Amino acid sequence: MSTYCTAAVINHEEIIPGVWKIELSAPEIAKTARPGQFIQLYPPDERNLLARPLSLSSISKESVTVVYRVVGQGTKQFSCLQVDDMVRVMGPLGNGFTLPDAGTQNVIVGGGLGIPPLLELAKRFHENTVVLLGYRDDPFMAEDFQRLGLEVHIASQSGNYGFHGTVLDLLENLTLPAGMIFACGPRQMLQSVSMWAKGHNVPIQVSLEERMACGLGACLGCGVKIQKPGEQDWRYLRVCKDGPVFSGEEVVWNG
Amino acid sequence: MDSRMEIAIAGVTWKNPVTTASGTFGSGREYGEWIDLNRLGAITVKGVSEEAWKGNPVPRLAETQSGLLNSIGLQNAGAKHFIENDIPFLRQYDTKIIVNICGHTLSQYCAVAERFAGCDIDMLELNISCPNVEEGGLSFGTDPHVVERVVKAVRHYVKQPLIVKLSPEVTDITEVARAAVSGGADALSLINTLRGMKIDIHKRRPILASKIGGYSGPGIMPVALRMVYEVCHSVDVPVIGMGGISTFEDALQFIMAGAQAVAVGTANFHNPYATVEIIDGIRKYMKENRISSLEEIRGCID
Ligand SMILES: Cc1cc2nc3c(=O)[nH]c(=O)nc-3n(C[C@H](O)[C@H](O)[C@H](O)COP(=O)(O)OP(=O)(O)OC[C@H]3O[C@@H](n4cnc5c(N)ncnc54)[C@H](O)[C@@H]3O)c2cc1C
Ligand SMILES: Cc1cc2nc3c(=O)[nH]c(=O)nc-3n(C[C@H](O)[C@H](O)[C@H](O)COP(=O)(O)O)c2cc1C
Ligand code: FES
Repeated sequence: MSTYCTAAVINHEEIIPGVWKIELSAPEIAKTARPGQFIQLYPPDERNLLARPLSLSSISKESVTVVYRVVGQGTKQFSCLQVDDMVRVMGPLGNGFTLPDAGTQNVIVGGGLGIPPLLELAKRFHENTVVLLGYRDDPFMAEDFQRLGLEVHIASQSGNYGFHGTVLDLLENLTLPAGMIFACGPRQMLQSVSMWAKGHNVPIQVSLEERMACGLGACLGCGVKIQKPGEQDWRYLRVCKDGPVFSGEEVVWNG
Repeated sequence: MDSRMEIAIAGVTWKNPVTTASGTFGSGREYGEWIDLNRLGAITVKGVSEEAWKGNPVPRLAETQSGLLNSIGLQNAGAKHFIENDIPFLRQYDTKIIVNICGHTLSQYCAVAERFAGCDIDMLELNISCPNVEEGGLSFGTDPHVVERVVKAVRHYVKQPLIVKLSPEVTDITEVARAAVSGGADALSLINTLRGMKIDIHKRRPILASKIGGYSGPGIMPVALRMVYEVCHSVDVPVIGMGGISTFEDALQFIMAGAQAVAVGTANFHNPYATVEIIDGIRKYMKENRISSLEEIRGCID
């Protein structure tokens, strides 16, 4: 069940310039939330009608945490929130990741702001998991994954940190056979990782983004082209309700 | 005093004057997880066409100051799917079912109206703002002669009371309203969205893939209210008012302008409880002001 409530800000910090981590007191949301689900956070200024979809980065008993980059009006308003301020929020929304059978060799692939939404998923895995993180420049939150005791590989496009390259290079260098890939990041990255997965016959779950209005499946604003096996043609499914997690093979990436 | 919210439109009684604006509420399934659908006067569903329509490319949404642009392109699974899946779902609830229909040609409108003739629904709403593909994509709803012709043709197939939903993109809304009534409309609803645009100055391109989309939400309310007021003073059929209604105060303004009922659209996105909060607000206003029937305030602005 999802809820719509007013939540208090418990923690709020700028983890790297322009990227903020906010923890909200929302026991009702935390109770049912799963990795890969998202919340709709309402900008305090009501002239911004629409809530902003943000993926859950971690879930605890009483609270949920999201990590966001300041890009426009809504996220700018969020960045001004102080501890104890109240903010309207709806969630948890969407399907979330499907957890694999025990013993599956998991590969978690994150790029940029797609990295935080994979943290809660990684927390559910104790072994058989490799984490590949790609950054443009300086890394953030990598230590949160390292702390879980999982094998973490880092790449940066600038070469400032870790391997000089992308997550796709890290994927190419994998020494063990992947059983299931979980990916979140820029669309371009998700597309190339999905192509890699297809070429290597590995099932892949990708978390997608699209502009949203209702966030709960009613307005059909958030279409993504999906073609399921056996279907003649693609059709638009809803990122907010049928996703945000889709099978990478079923996404029609071009066009 | 017992405040009665019941209203009647073209012989159909609603328990209160609040419905949903087509396309903002699906067929009620999703919002049914948030609110009790039995509380609504009626549910107006997303536009249904004869065959399935894929809809427009994404992005389909852009936020504006106090408003929203959409270019969903009437994506829907077609009449057959709707009849098999959505009518049985909606019939579980004690509310009226209004099916909004759309088409790209006159024969498509007639075909979808005919599909619903034998169906268990309460009212049909004809969306005449669709682009007419046979006339270079110009909306059916902008020319009074075309409006009258479409309504008359569709009327022939319709078995339920017919609501005609007007487009605001005309110079004189009363002229189109009269055309729809003379074509056979039992009621009118207005307004549909106004066409608008938003441009990303950094990428130097429109936000919407279709460039232009329908503008809705609080920003359009003054225009909608004015048009409802004008139409209520120029035709005798009941009017369902909509356009930016977000609070019970907004809804009451439409009723005072003469509307029989109101529809809540974009406000649902801002607050999933908007419809029931508006119903509760109207009831409270009636109690506080010792109003026993909405007739006492309807059209009080002359
Ligand atoms: C399921 C999902 C999960 C997301 N998770 C995260 C996350 O964990 N961290 C993060 O930083 N960002 C995330 N995003 C992207 C985030 O929603 C946008 O960056 C944010 O909405 C921008 O809002 P704004 O008001 O600052 O920007 P503006 O450009 O002012 O926003 C205007 C409108 O466009 C929408 N919009 C703009 N960019 C996007 C976008 N990329 N995706 C969807 N809608 C957009 C806004 O929601 C708003 O309705 C996610 C998006 C989706 C769909
Ligand atoms: C996302 C969205 C989808 C819509 N789809 C339809 C539709 O299928 N048929 C129709 O007649 N009107 C459609 N409309 C128009 C609304 O029903 C309504 O007339 C308009 O949005 C004004 O009301 P509002 O400001 O309360 O939303 C849609 C509006 C929105 C925002
Ligand atoms: S945002 Fe409305 S259907 Fe997804």
